[in-house]
Amino acid sequence: MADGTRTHLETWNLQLAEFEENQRVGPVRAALGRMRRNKLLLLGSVLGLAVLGTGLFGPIISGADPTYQSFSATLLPPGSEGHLLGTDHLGRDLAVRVFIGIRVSLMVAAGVTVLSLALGLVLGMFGGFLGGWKDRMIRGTVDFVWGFPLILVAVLFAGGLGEGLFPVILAVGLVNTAAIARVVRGEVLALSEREFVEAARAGGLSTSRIMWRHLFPNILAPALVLASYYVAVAIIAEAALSFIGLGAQPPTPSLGGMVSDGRNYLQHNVPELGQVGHWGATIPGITILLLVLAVSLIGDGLRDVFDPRLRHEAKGVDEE
Amino acid sequence: MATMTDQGGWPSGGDQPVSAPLLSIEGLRTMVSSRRDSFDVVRGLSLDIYPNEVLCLVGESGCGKSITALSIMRLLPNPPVRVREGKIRFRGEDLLRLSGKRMRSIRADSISMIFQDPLTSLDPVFTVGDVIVEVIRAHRDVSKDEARRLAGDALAKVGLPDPISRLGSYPHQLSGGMRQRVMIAMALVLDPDILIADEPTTALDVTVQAQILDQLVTEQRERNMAMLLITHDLAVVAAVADRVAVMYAGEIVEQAPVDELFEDPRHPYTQGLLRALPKVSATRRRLDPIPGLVPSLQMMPPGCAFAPRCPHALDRCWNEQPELATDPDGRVFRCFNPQPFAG
Amino acid sequence: MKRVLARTVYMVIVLVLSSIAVFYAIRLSGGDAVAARVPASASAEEREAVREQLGLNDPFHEQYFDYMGRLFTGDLGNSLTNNAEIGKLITEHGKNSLILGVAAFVLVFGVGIPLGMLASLRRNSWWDGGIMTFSVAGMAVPNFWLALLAVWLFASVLGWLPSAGCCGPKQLVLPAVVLAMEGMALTVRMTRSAMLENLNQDFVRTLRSGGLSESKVIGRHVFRNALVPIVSLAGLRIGQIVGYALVVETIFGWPGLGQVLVNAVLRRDYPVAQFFSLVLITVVLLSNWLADVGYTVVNPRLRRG
Repeated sequence: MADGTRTHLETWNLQLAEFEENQRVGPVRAALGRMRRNKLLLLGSVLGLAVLGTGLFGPIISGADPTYQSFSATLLPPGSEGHLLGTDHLGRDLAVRVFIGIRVSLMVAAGVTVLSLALGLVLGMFGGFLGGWKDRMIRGTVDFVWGFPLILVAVLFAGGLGEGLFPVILAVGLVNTAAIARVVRGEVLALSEREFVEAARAGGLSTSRIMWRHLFPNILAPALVLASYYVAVAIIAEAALSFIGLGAQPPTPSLGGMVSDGRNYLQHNVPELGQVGHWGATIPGITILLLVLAVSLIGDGLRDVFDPRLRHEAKGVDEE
Repeated sequence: MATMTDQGGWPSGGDQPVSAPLLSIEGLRTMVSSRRDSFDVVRGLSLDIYPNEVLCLVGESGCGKSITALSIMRLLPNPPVRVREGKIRFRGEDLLRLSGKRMRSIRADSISMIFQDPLTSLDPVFTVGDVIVEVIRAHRDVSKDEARRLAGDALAKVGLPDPISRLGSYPHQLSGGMRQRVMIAMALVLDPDILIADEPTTALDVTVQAQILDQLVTEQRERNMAMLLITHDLAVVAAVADRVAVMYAGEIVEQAPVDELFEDPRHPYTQGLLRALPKVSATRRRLDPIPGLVPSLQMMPPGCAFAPRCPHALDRCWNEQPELATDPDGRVFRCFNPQPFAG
Repeated sequence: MKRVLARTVYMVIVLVLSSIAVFYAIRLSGGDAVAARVPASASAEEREAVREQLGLNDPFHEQYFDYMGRLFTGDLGNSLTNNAEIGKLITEHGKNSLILGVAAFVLVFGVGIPLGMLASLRRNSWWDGGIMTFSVAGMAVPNFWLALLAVWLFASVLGWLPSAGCCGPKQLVLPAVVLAMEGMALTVRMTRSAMLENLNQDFVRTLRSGGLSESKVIGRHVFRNALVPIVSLAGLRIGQIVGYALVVETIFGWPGLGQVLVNAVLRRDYPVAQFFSLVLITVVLLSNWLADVGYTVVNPRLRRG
């Protein structure tokens, strides 16, 4: 009987082990699986690459001058000879201007991201790790900036520094810095209570060493995910500000400015056509839409794959 | 303390019950379903609760105790958990087939429940008085003032100091023990016939645990109410139970009056549980854990659920599922090869 | 109470600091204020005289206190471009902005919260899908672009509504909806997730075990709990409305504070820009403060201690 029992138990344990093996999914495979299942990320990446590629290589392929005006070829509709997307009211080729406009948008987004990520990481990490009055100071400043509407800040900066892309980058960058610093600080506080940081402290490691060797690597991923989310915010803000005339200044083609140029013909007839012409506004407008969509899809997808917890922060839920 | 109550449905000694059960569960099967698979977490459970008794439902975590309780209250988180089959008879009705409205009128009024964690179980943005008043007025046609008076009385009765001003307190302003007293007051304010207490002391400090348990037993006696106490703590069982049902992997493996169960457990799992208790008085001070792990409910052995951990398992135990049966001594358990207990 | 007091003190400090910052920023570019008042051919002495007259040579803090003093006596000066009295500008345009802002606020919360609740209660239904699609679209479409689409569709094609103007109900519809869109979309999303989160809390089970009806459990208890995060961000929503108003008022030619500020910045009308900046900053800070107080009211966990 003893033998029989052992066989039963052994068989059972083997079955159980097999079952558990089937249930188990490794962390890498799980992340890959989520990424593969995440159609949004895929769609966003494809779209993003397409828009990015157009922005980077379009001007090279086309070779046309985005500021070349031709008063004999104003307001040509899309599909006209030599002008794939038509021309604007000054006869400038819309396709080339859209290409350059994408570049401008991405340049602003890059500037904003670098600024906000660097500053946000530093402020958040110092605040969260040092604590005390330094943390309160940093937190007070960050909360103050965070509570401010982006557009108002940008208009104020334009008032102080004059119109142009630099104040836009600065304003959007600072507001996004606050958002990133808040999340980073929260992460640092959470990490500080974990064993490995406690152990590092108990082991007598210096503050800066703990921060850079132990905290930084753990915080970089969520911060990057969050920053990708704010890229869309930066693109929209730049477009809106250029639209009202406070962003990129002529002759720099900016998507927002182009929409503004084209808006008159949404309501007024194009002389040659005898009816309203939408393309001057819709083509750059749709480009902005696609750009924002691509960036948001990539940001959302990255967030889902790497850090589902960040959903709340990205929406701005304030955990007190 | 209290191993029996004379007026209870089960007089001591393990005779047949003298009165009809108040609530009886017949062949309850509750399942969890996810996109990947679905499986039963309560596997054909039958259990009677008699008037005025304290029935303890014992088992390791994950064995389906709480799911059983929530099935009775019809408060399962559905989806993913739902009752697949079975009957729960209460006063001539099957609770599982009642309309939502009729079921709501039974909750708190006839069958009440208190939960494990009193902090998360109370609405944080309402005062405890407001909530108790709402519960009263959901069942009784009384004025707000009258309901508030009743709520104050209920808090006073469960030993909350300064009950009237506590009506205006928010849960976060109360200690863990006070919160659990509020939960008890809310559950008992309408004088139910049955109180289901799901691990009511697990989340509390050890010193407070005894007070809360004492309060529950006092209330149960004074109100002539039946209590289904769910716990994994055998010390609690020994202290308060009249009768005990032991659960393992979604089914009952043994049920007995508390004295018999502790003196002469029949099922090897019950024996293992008792053997695992620390024995301070014994000369050898060591723990005897049950070997092996609780089986995953997604992957059950073909025969007896306990066979992989059982020291006395036969071939038959691996191939056939034993039934819950009454042996010639009148003992109820589920085993093909019961062995005498050597504590 | 302590919390409200602390927030009030914080708000006042921030208000003072912002006024200094705005003042300083405008002074930095103060050279143009001189240029705006003297002919291009003016000599250095003439320019210096104007500087002196405008008080631009005084120490910074004196200029600041002088300006703040004039603010409180109501002597706000005149616009450099059209010489309009700034005090009059603010009352006229303030009223228009208030109308637009209140309309947008009502849309953001009065429509956003019910839609979010509907989506959460009909989870995974067509309702939920439709509302969430609308919400995602509302967040993705930049509002100036939405404004143009709305003008094109409702003014040019359908001819139902005027494309711009002020200040009747017909003219109000498009700017109010465009201004509210993003906030509304965010409120829908947040209400939905807060409702769903609270529906899964233990206390809901307790209330059901007490025999309360679903309408009480959800409409009263779950909703009141869901309101906590919604109110905590209401201040930000109002702030965003103020910010977007700058764009939306400009597009629709709605003569509000935002339009005046944008034009003042574009035309380097410093006295107007400076004062209107201060006004809008104050509105934002006040709304953040109000939301903070509201948060303390809906979240009893913050009320004591």
